[in-house]
Amino acid sequence: MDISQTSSTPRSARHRSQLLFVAMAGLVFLLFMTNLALGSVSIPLAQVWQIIIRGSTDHAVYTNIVMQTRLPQAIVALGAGMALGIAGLMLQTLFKNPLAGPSVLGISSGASLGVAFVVLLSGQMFGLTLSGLPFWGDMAVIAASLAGALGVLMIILTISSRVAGSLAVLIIGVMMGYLSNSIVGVFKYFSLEADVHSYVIWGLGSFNRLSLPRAILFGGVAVAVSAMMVFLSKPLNLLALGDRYAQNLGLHTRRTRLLVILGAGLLTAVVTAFCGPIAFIGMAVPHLAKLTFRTSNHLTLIVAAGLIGSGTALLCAILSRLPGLESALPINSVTAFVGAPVVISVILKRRSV
Amino acid sequence: MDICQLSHLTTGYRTGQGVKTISQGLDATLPSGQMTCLLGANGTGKSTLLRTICGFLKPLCGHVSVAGREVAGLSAREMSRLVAVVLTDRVEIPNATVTELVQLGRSPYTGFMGRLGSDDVAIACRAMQQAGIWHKRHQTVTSLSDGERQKALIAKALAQETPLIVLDEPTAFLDLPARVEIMQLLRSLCSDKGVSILMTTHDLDLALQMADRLWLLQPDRPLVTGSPEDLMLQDAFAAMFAQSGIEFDIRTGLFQIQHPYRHHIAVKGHGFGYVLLRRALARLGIRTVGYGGGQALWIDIRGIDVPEFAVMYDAHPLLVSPSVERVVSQVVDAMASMPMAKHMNVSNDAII
Repeated sequence: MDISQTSSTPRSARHRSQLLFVAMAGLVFLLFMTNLALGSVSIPLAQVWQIIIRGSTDHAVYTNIVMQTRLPQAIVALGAGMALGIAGLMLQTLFKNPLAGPSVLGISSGASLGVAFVVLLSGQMFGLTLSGLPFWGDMAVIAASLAGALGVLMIILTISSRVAGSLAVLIIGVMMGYLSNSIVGVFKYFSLEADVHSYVIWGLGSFNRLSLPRAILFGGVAVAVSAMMVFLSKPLNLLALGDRYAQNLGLHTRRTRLLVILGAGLLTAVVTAFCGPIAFIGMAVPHLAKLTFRTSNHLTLIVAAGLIGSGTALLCAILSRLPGLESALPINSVTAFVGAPVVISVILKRRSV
Repeated sequence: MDICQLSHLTTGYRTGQGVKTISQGLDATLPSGQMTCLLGANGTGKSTLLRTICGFLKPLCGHVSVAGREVAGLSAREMSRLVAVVLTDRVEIPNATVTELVQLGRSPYTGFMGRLGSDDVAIACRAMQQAGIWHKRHQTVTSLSDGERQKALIAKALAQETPLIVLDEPTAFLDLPARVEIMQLLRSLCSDKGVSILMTTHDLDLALQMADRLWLLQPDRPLVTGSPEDLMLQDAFAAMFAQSGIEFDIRTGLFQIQHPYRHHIAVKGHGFGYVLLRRALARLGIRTVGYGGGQALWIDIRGIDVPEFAVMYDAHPLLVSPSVERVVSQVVDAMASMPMAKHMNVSNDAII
């Protein structure tokens, strides 16, 4: 036998993943450009390209459309998809559960609770509709959402540093979700119809709530935090073996679990604060990453989940405002139609994944 | 030299409610380069002892040392270079190939990002060859049979290059050929490669034949240790299996079921035919005794290479057959149709 021929993967497989990465990146770029070009007004790709390169084009309308709505939305979709895909992958590995996703930690429920405080309760208690104010309203919603998400994250971290298994964390996360939903239910019951409506709209999720500068800021943060997660790839590879095997291979399992929850929690919290709770992308994307790249190495999987997450979110953004539709569909309605079939097919042929 | 030492060790759990002691006062040594089997009935604390040795549980009292270092004071990273484990925990990593699994065994030696050097790759390859799983290296772990998965995990443990490998029931869930194969693999790793192994098992016969040393764990007793043969001479197994319907046959050195005998019958002859006939009759509660000429109903074993059995009544053959099954049913029929006391010589001592 020839040892030199055998590295971590057969050579052809490594070529395959490199090719796949290039193809994925190309696809994400294509989807990004399509997002800028397609909509109720179609803009020729050449014009789009000009706007991106030079910041403007002779067509003032085109410039406005791209710079004011489509570019921010595409940037937000790119960052949010990447963050959610990676967070979902990390949590599925941590909990060894193919149905885990960013929502299982109760973080998006915490964010919902925070937003409910601002949107539903403030109108009742102080007689002013915070969310109605143009700038401060947005900021209040974002801040409340972030506060709720991080609050739940702190609780989960505190609990998981005290209990031994990951299963307990999973159950506590889900229970936190139920608790916040029930509090939100009480708020809704006593709220004005208009406030409930704006709360429901927030809960449907959206990629186009941010202006261009804020979208760039959000995209930068999301991509940077996502990229940092590759440093967790070795601990995640070991965690996939099971806690005791991981410990026997030198992993400080409790500390690693905290880091994974912290990382995935931050990603989820940031996305939820700026886009609302985005369903299904975090659950479906890790499965797509494992299906296409056929590896268990989290270094590859994290990058793959990031790219596929961005691609999926951009695709959903395009679908949500297909030509012919008067206004854009809520993003969560689209993600469910894209994500649910993926999850169902994975569960049906579970043995192979 | 001893690779592992237990002194006055008390194992157990610290729970929220308090301390649950499993075993106490354990003293033992584990010589380097040997295969040691830890035997004991379910619930005696084998797994707890194993987990304490691996550092998963802290000793409640006393000391465990591996390669001269106190386990309780070592970090996970330090332990990972001293003890490698093969557990009963199911390993289900989506997409992972055997090679990827075995290469995880190099984690204690790789850096922050887990990048493998050429040494690591070569060591993992050697481990797969030694464990006999090289031919399956590109397959996914989930597609392997149970026996192959154990070999892959053993290869992972070998890749870890630790002075001691600890296995928790590596032969559980395997069929007999696979059990023997795994035991032979572990045996050869000890004999040929100088690996030290501590394993728990319920396969007594295999452990007696394959292990260099045994640790017998029994409730509320000190750990009994020694080579299988010395322990047999000391009759250490009798106490272990008292009241469990198993007896230790001192003629063969094997365990067998203790049958409740209600009848006995005289048999003339010996050899393999006799052994098989004795087994078949023992199942029905009929014990074989030597033929002394006085019994009316008896069995004569004839033939040199191929045995032939004759059921005799005095000097008359009732049946001559090469089939044990037919002979046994003839004996049962004959016993049923005869008044026992007269023909069978039944006395109280026949009932054990």
